[in-house]
Amino acid sequence: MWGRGTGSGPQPRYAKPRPSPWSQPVQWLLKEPVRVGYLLAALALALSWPFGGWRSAAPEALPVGEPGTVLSAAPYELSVERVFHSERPGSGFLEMEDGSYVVLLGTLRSTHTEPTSISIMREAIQVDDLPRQLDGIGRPVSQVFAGRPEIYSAEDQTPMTSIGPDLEHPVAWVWRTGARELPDTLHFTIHAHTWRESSLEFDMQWLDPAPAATVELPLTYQEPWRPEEGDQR
Amino acid sequence: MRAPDWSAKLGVGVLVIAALGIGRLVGDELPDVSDSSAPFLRHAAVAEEVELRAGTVRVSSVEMAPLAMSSTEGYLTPGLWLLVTFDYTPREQPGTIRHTRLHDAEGTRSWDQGRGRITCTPTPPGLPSRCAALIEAPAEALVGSTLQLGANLWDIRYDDLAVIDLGITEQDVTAAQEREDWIEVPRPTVGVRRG
Repeated sequence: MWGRGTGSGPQPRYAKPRPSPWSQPVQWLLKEPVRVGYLLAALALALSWPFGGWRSAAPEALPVGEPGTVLSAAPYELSVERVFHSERPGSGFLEMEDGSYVVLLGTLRSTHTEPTSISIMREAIQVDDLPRQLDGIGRPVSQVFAGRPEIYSAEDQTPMTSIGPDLEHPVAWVWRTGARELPDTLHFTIHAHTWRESSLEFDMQWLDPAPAATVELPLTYQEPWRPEEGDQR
Repeated sequence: MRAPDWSAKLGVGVLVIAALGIGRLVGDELPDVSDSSAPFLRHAAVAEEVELRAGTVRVSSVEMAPLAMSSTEGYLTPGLWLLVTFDYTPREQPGTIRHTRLHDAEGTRSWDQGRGRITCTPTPPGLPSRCAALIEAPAEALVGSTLQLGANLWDIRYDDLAVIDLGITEQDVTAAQEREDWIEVPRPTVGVRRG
């Protein structure tokens, strides 16, 4: 009978079991549980590789809006009709000597239950390819606000500051430009917002404007508005 | 024998998750911040005085039309213009009415002055002023609507607001839609006698 090595005398000679090639890596892996997590993450990445991995997905083509059709872009429904440029589009505007106004006419209706502010309205529709945009006092528009319009009532030219629910306003989205030559067509991107809690102010807001549709319109010229005799405007 | 390192870490992880769960349960039982900071609402009708923290307000008249005129501009609307005239007397500090919000009869939709205006200017304590709020809204929303008036423009948390039942009926709205004249937005007056 073989003893357990406690006795004196000659010890039997038998073959030492051959270790599995995986035993050492498995032991190393289990020593720190976080290593298992790293391994799983690496495996997930490796498995995603044939499907594109971390490469950016090709953006989906945006729907193209036609003049007169209603486009939904939360929290608004809007339509566009035509776009023109003029040195003075109406009596409510001062004449521009070294540039012109670009005026997009359409309608705007809010579907939200409370008033939405002018900043959300300005994000909802933006021009993509208008050169040399200027602000209200003739300075180049900063990159942050590039493409965002001023908004006026198309009926009485009063500035829109907010819009309440269920009022469909004829509106004029207005940009100012110092460019001498303007393109024959302009492209606009319609942005939809998401109603979610602000991570800074902890209240519900319309945030994250994201492209929802595009519109291409021919840019025409309109003679500047001139006051009639005796009109002091 | 020393316990494996990762069983201790697992225990810590379980404790952290349990603590987060308890925190969530307690947090869910606390009142929502929008409820706990909601303004106090003082309900009244036209011609009734409302005592607010900052002063006393009384709506004196309500008028509607499709066109409104100020001293410099005319305002068209796809709905109706609502002109509410009121008296306000600040109590302890100079002030005026800055917050106006129109609610429909169900209280689900609301409109601020938007393209309209509040004509009020601040007055010293005890000195009354008469001013007006011009608000546009869909005609159908005006029936049974109420108007909130308050002294703070944006931050109405913990404040109190007058909620005025404007007493607008369907007949009033129909009559307003048929008006061919316009609303004149009055200039504010200071030192007006109530009555």
